[in-house]
Amino acid sequence: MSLPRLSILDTFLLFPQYLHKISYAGMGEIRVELRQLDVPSAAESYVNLPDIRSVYRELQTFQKAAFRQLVAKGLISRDEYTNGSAQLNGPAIPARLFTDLNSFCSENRDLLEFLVHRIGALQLDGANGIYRRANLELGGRFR
Amino acid sequence: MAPTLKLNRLVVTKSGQRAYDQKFHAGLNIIHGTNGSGKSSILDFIFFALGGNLTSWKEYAKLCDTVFAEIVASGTTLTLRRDVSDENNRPMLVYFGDFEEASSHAIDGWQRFAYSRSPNGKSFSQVLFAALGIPEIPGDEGANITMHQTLRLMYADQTTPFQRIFRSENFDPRDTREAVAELLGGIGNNQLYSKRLQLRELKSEEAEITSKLTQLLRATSSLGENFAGGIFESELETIATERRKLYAEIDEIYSSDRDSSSNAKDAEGKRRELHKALSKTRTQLITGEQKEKSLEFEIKDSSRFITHLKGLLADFDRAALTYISIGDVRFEYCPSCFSEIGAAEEEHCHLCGAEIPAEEKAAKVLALRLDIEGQIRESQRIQTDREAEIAELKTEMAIIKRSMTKQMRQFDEVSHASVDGSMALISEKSRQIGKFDSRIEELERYKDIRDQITKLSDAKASAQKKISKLNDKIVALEVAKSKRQKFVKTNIANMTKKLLEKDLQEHKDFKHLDKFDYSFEDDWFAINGDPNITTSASGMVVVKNSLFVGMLLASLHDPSMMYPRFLLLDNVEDKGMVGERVRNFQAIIAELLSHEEGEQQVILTTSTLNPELNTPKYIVGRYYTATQGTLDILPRKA
Repeated sequence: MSLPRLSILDTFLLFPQYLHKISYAGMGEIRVELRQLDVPSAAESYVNLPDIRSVYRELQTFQKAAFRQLVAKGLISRDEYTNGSAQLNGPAIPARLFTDLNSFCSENRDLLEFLVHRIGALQLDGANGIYRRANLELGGRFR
Repeated sequence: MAPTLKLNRLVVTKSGQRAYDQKFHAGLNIIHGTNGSGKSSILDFIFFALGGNLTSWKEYAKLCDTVFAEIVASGTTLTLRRDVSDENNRPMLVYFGDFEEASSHAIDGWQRFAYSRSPNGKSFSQVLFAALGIPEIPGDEGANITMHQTLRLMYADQTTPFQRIFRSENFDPRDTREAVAELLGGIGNNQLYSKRLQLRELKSEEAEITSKLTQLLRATSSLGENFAGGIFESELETIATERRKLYAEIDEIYSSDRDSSSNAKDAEGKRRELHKALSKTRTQLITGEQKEKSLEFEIKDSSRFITHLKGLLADFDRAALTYISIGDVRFEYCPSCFSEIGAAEEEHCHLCGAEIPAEEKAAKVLALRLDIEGQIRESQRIQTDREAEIAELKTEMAIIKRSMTKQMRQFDEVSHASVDGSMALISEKSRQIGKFDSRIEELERYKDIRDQITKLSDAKASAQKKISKLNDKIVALEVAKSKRQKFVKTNIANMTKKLLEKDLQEHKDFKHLDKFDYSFEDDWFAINGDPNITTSASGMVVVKNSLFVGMLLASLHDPSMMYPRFLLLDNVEDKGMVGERVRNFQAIIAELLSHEEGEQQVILTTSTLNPELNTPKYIVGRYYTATQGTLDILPRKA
């Protein structure tokens, strides 16, 4: 998966309440699916988050440092990373972390599937792209 | 990860000076010296430092002030500090790091934990269990399962009668022994304890609901009213219409026949008085309602905060695991330029080759986790106070509302009353209104009762459903427990048997060893079904020590056992055991442990050391004598 796409999905995984801020114009089906996920809205969350653009900009610093650590420790492919993508090196993940990640994935299966198969399937740019729909065009793209 | 406990260092101080300072290693540690040299005191200090309750100190040990123990609890380095005292249930100070670092902090950086649990704070047992990874038993049952209780199965001392397994103490309920043995054996898992506790709470909740419901049903049957749904509402509607009609009639009389006599002036005075009282009550009501709203908001907000903190704690656990797991992975590439990195020495930076100071990630994580838990606990405590306050306020408001209704009625009567000849007519109508008002109050009360009955019936049905589900779950868990119990027992018995078979033939007090059996809950052990196994006390000591070592060995082969793979043996030569037999037992332990790969630690004292074990690999400290004992306080008597 490309790094910019992964960075966006990571943002929504960390702060799922922003999923409600995406424009789903012409994608009623996705909106219905989101409603079924029961993701709390910003008003329901205890933490008052600022605009997604400033969060996304701040988050990128951490994402980049994390990516570099993962590459340096051989957890994601160095070659893929230098080509702008991330590919997991499954066997390198420590066993305990692997088990925990698996349980996280099964606990949050619906949200993860929604992120990967719905949000992750949207194109990045253009009028219907995720950057515009999520109001991230001016938020500083992942580089 | 299976719990492991390792003592790294023990420091005992007297007036700020170190009376004992010794490092310990993994595996077998032997403290050797003559009788009366203070070896047992060292084991007592270890027991106490780890959370044991010790009140009967040996004369010399009692002179000391403080004991520090640097331990590694399942990978987390902690330094524990307790002040020597003959009082029960002493607290513990915990430093989340090693002893050297802890020594540089006077009192800052140390956290104080009480012996017992309280709603406002964790006990040191809870902290140590968390560090060890031993599940905490919730509720009242768990409050008795302390570090002290678990240490009773890790410390074979000289004062406990040799027929007993658990370190002796005055108040020693069977239930506690059973719970400790199950906990350390990884048997009655945490889920079973908490489910049983939930069941007990649910049953008492259900009994309370049933009793309230019975009382209400009994009360309603004597009222002779029909409590069917809707019946009170329709009567209330009829009365309200009648009441409005009566008021309209009074108004008519009043407007057609107003007078300004002195009686009317009196009535006006009374009306003003009532109006004033009514305004006051209304203000009280408004203030109360505002307070109620504000409290409701705070409760709602705080509840969201607690949910947020709980989520944070779960996220923190996950982040901590990631941080520790990824931190342990070696760098393959430079994180800056991604060029390959060659092999680096252990404990050295892979990038620059500098030596890395031991970073206590696990200790930091534990300290941070306890901090979040503390915030949750504190918020929950404040929330409980708020809930109590709002309940009290609601009761107060109900009283004010009732009083206001009464005042309004009086005000209405006075406002509408005429003081001339129509008085009798108006009085009669007011009397009828009064009757209606009483009936309204009665009907409202019945409505309340009916609502309560419905609510209680629903709550009872829901509790019964939950009880039935829980019962099923408990039965399933008990089946699993029973299987696990047999498995653990067989393993420990087999390991013990293995040790006993290595005891010297010429000293054996029993001819054939077919079966070794024991019961932790009833505190006995038996060979071939006979609890009075041997004719000699020393024979009993060998069997008992074999059981302790057997337990440790079993835990090394069974990761589900919560036994912390740690053992203190202060009685290997107790009851006049001959030297040859003592030395053989020491050799058996050393040999068996040498084959084990899992982390473990055994600390043993002896005056009859097996010469083959007299190597730095096993020996801790020098050879102690009566004049040059373990504790460097004052010259000892010869």
